[in-house]
Amino acid sequence: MGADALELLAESIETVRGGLAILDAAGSVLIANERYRKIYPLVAPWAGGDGDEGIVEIDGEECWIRINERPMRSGAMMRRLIETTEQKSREADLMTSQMRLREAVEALEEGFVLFDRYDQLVLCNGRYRTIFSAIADLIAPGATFEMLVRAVVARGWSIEQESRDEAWIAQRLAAHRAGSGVYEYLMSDGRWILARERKTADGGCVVTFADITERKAAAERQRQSQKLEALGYLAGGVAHEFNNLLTAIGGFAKMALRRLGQADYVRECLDDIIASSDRAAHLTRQLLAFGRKQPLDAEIVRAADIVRGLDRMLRTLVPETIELVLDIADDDAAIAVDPNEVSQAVLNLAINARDAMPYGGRLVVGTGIVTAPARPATVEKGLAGVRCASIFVRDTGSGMSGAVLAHIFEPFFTTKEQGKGTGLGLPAVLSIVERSGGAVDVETEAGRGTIFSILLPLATGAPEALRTQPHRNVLIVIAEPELRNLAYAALTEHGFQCARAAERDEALAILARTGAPPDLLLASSAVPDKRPDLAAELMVRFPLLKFLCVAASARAPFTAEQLVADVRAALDAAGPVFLEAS
Amino acid sequence: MPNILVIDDNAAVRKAVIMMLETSGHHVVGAKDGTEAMRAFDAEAPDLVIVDIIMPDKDGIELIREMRLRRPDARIIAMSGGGRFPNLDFLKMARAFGAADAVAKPIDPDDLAARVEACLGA
Repeated sequence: MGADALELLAESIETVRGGLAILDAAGSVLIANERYRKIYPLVAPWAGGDGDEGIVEIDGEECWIRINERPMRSGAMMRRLIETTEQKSREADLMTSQMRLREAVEALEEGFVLFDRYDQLVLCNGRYRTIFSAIADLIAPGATFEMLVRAVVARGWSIEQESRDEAWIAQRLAAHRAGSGVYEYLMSDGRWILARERKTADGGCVVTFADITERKAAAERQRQSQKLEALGYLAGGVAHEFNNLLTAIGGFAKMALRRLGQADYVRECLDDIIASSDRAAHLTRQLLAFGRKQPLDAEIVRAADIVRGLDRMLRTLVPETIELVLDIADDDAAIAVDPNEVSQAVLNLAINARDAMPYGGRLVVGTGIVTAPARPATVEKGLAGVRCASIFVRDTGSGMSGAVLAHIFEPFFTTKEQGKGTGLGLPAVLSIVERSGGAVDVETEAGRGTIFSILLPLATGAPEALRTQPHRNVLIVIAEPELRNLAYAALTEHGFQCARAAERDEALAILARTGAPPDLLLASSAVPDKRPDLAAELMVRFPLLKFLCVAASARAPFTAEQLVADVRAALDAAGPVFLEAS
Repeated sequence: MPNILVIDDNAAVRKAVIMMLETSGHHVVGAKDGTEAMRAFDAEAPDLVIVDIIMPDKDGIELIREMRLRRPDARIIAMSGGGRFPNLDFLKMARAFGAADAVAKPIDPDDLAARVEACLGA
C-alpha cells in the first residue's frame, strides 16, 4: 500500500462513528482511529472477543460499548467498538413501558384480552384467565377467537347456548366480526358476565369482561323492594278509597234505617248508596284490568280505525272550549291488540288531556308509524329504534313537572280532585299497552302541554274490520213504560238480548249485576234524569257501545219493524255511533 | 245549637257525615277543600271542626295547624281512611298538631256521635 493510500485510509477511518482498528493476524494494531485509541484501553480489561459488551467511563460518563470483530480475507481483522448507550436506553424504556402496560392490564378489575387482526390472542390478563378458568389450558398467545369460543361452548361455560350450540357460536362470531358490541352472559355457575368488545385501529379487537353478578343481584333486590313499595302504595290507596266508600255506604244505610218512615229521605240515602257501590264496582273493575297480565281477544286491526271509532265519543267528552282534531297518518298501520282495551287506553289519555285544559285548548288524537325513541320504557320492551304504530294524544294544557312525571304510572297517584280521578287511569293505560307488547312514551313541558304516545309493534297480516262478530246485547233505558215494553218485546222477538230500565240508576244497577257489556244503548231523549250524560258515562266504560236515541216520548209512536231496522243499522255501523231512530 | 264544620274532598263522605251529625240535631256546614274550609271557619266560627287528612292541595294536617293558629282553642276531630303512605299514622300526627280526637274511616254514626258529644262537652 502506497503512502497516499495509507493516508487516505487513516483519514477515512477517522470519519467512522465509534472506534475502529485493523489488526494483523498476530493481533497487533496496524491502523486505528483516534476514538479506538481512546476507548480500547478502557475496554481491554474485559474485552474477550466479538459480541462482548460492557460499560466504560469516558470523560466522566458511563457508556455502553459492544465489540464487533470481522476477519478479513488477508488474515487481518477489523475490530469495531460500537457505542450502544442510546440503543440500550431505548431498549430499557421500551421494556419499562411494556412492563407498565402489562401491570396496568393485570391491575384491571375486568378480564382483558387483545386479539390481533388475524383474530389471534396477543395479550390477556389473569382476571381473564380466572373468568375463563374452564378453558385456561387453551389461553395462550396465538389462540384464535373462534377456537376459544368453541371451547367455551364445548365445556359448558355459559348456560345460554344450551341445546343450540352451533347457532349460538354462529351468532357470537357474527357479532364479533361486526365489530363493537356489549353482551351479557349467564354462566353455568350462576355468575353474570358483561362482555364489551371494541375494534382497535389496526383491525384487532379488545374484549373486556366484568363480573356483574353483584350488580344484577342488587338491581333485582331493588326491583323487589320497589315492587313491595308499590304494593304497599296500592294497598294503601285501595284501603283509602274503600274506607271512603264504606263510610258513605254504611253511613247512608244507617241514616235510612233511622228514618224508615220518611220515604224521600230513605230514597236519597239509597241513591247515594247505589252511587257509592257503583263507584266501588268501577274501582274493582279497574283494579282487575290493572292486574291482568295477558292480552285478551287480540286481533289484527288498524290503529287508525280505533281512533276513528272513538271520534264521536271524544266529541261528547270534550267541551266546546277545546278544539278536537283527529290527525290520522299511515292509515294501514296494523297492530295486534284487543281493540276494546286499546280504545279504553286512548280514552283515558284523552280524558286526562281534557282535564289538563280547564280553560280550553287543542286536543289532537292521531296515529302514524314512527321509529320508537330510545327511552327506558322502549328499551325494556325491545322497541327502541324499531318502527312502531303510534297512537298519540297531544294537549296544549298545563304540562307536568319532572316530579309529577316520575309518578304518573303509579297506582293511586292523582293530581285531580278526589272523586274525579281514581289514580288508576294511567296505570291502566300502561297495563293495557304493555300487555299488547307496547310501550308508552311521554313528552311534556310544564306550561306547554303533553304528548302521550302509545307505541305498538307493527303487526303483519290482514287487519280485520273492528267488530266482525255479531253483537246483540241491547240496554233499553226508556222512562215511559209502554214505549219501554214495546221496544223490549220487539227486540227480544228478533233475537236481541235485552235488559230494560226506566232511568240511569236502574240501568247502572242492571249493568253492575249482569256485568255483561251492552253493545247498544237504546234510550229515549226524554230520560228524566238529573244526570243526562248516561250515554257518555257508559261509553267511557264500554268504548264500542253504540247509542240509539228514540225520539221524544210515547206520544211519538214508532213501529216495531222500524225500531228493529234502526237497531240493526246502528249495530252494523263501524265504530260507536249516535243515531236518532226514524 | 252548636255549629260543626265538616271538611272532606270526597262528596259522598262529606254528605254522609253531615247527615249523621244532622240526625243528632247539629247544625252542620260542609267544605270540599282548604279554601272553602278556611272561609267557613272564619265566617261560621264553628264549635267543632271535623277534617279529613288526605286531600289534594291542602291536607288536613295543614288545615289543623292553620285553624289552631287562628283560634288556639279550636276543637278539631281528624278523620282518615289511611292511604298512600301506609307507614305513616296520620291520626297520631293529627293529634300531635292539636286535634282533640281522631277517627279512622269507615265511620260509624254512633261512634262519631259519641266522640262529637265528648268533644263538645269537654
